[in-house]
Amino acid sequence: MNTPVSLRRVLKFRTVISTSTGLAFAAIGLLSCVQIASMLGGDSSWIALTIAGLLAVLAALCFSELNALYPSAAAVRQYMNEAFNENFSLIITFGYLLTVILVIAADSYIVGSAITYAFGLPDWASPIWILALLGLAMGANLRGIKIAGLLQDITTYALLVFVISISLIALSQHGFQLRMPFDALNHPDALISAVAIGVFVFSGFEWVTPLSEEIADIRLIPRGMFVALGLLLIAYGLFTEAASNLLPVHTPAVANSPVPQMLLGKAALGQVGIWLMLITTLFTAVMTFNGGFATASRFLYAAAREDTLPPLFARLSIRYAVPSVAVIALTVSSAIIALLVFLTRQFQILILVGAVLEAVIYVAAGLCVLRLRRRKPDAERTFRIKGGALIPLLSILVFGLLGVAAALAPGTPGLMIGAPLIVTLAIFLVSALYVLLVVPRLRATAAARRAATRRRRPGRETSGEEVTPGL
Amino acid sequence: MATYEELREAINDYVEQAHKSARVTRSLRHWNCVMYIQAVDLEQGFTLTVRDSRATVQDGSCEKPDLIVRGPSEDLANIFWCDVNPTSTYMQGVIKTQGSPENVMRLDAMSMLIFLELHKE
Repeated sequence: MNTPVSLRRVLKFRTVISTSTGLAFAAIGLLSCVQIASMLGGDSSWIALTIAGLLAVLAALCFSELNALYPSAAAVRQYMNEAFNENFSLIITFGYLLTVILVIAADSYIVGSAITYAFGLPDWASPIWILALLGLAMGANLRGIKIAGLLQDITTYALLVFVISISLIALSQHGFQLRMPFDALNHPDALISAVAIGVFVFSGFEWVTPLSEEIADIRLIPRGMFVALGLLLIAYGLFTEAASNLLPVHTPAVANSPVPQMLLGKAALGQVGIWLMLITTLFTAVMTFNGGFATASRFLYAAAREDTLPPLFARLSIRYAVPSVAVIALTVSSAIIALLVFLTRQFQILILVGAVLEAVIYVAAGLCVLRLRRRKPDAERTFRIKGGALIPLLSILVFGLLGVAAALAPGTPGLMIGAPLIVTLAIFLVSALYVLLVVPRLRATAAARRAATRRRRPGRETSGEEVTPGL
Repeated sequence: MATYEELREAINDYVEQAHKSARVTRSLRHWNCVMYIQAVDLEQGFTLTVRDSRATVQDGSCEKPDLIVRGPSEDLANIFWCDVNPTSTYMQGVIKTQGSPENVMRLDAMSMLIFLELHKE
């Protein structure tokens, strides 16, 4: 049989950690932290973040087992396909894709607002910056420019150092004295809502699973996710504490601000703090645009190649082998959402819908673990969650409840109760209708095209149903 | 199951078709990659090298590859004859890859362009 062949270049553990951390560390995460702080009294937001971080470990365990079973870049798409069926997999994956678009849109909105704030520009400059940033990201992606390896590691770790340092400096202003650090425990309803948003703060750490095709030992993926969750908890936790300690987070001026991180930078270090926070915000955007565009555009391309999206999405830039139409479609979608958020100032809806979508994904991950254990009990797994069905069941239950809490959004100022639920249901309804009504037509058209195609392989030159050529 | 000779013939044809197409050659211009094609049910694999806009194929593993493509010989042969869509085969978990997604994407793009070239009439 074949002798084992190993790759010339594999990713190191530090890159696994930086990818998991970088994908989860979005600018919208900083706003979510301030939302959490505004929902809870005193400096007790650390409790919500710690609980959310620990709950994220449940999801990380589920993803680790799924990744051990299917170490593939197709990740979620393949887990759900194998555990349930193709339609379920497509409906959930299209929803997942929307989370990526929401995060890209949110980050462009926040970065645009941060630049406007830092340079003291009028408000109308924000949409120009938003479009410029998205245009820049699109151009870089169309030319196949990608931040990877060492540069990606440096960007992510520098981002963590910046956030942690500024937060520590801010906390030192009051001599690290905390006000009512356990107040959240007296308000369990507010705490549950805050934890639901906290889940969104950590979301994205699991997008590291596609890297399993680029590493020598896939056991590095679970380890990397756990380390990343720890780093995210430290950075986000300190930032949230610093914000609640130094800023009036319960006032609408801060809670509804698109740039609370800039306000914290200013309160801690004056103008220098503003510039440092602008750099931090730009770093988060670089990571989001870098990872988000690549992941989402490749998914759209693969979906078109599988006949689940119109062939247009498989159109390539020949020179750079980049799915150009997919990249442009992503940019346009993100720009529309970002501009809508700018006009309505309702970024809270992005956070809450993102939280619901992530909760749905985590529930689905728990269900996949249980289902695949039954369907493929003897399949090789380099990682298996201990304790039988306890962790996957807990994951389903906890994220199901948190999803409901985020979907109802009680106590979110300026937002109708249940608005995130309506938006999420609409997303999945559209996704389900598309998968059930449009995808069969696309497949029928592709099948007709295949039937008219003669096979090239000698001895098998007939046309047939099993022939599934390219576009 | 395809024989070793059948798989080699498929890869040879793939390389030949690639060189015939100006679009494929253009897409190879900015891509240097050593790929190891491993049929899990055959004794020996192949090395497909893309360098300086040219693709070449050799028996066995010559140097450490940038991309490894593993799968049953029958499916690999069908893919290299452009009779089967590599993306679908990959998504179904029949074909497995190891390496960067950029290289996987470029290999798939190469297959798509060859297919389009073969069926453009």
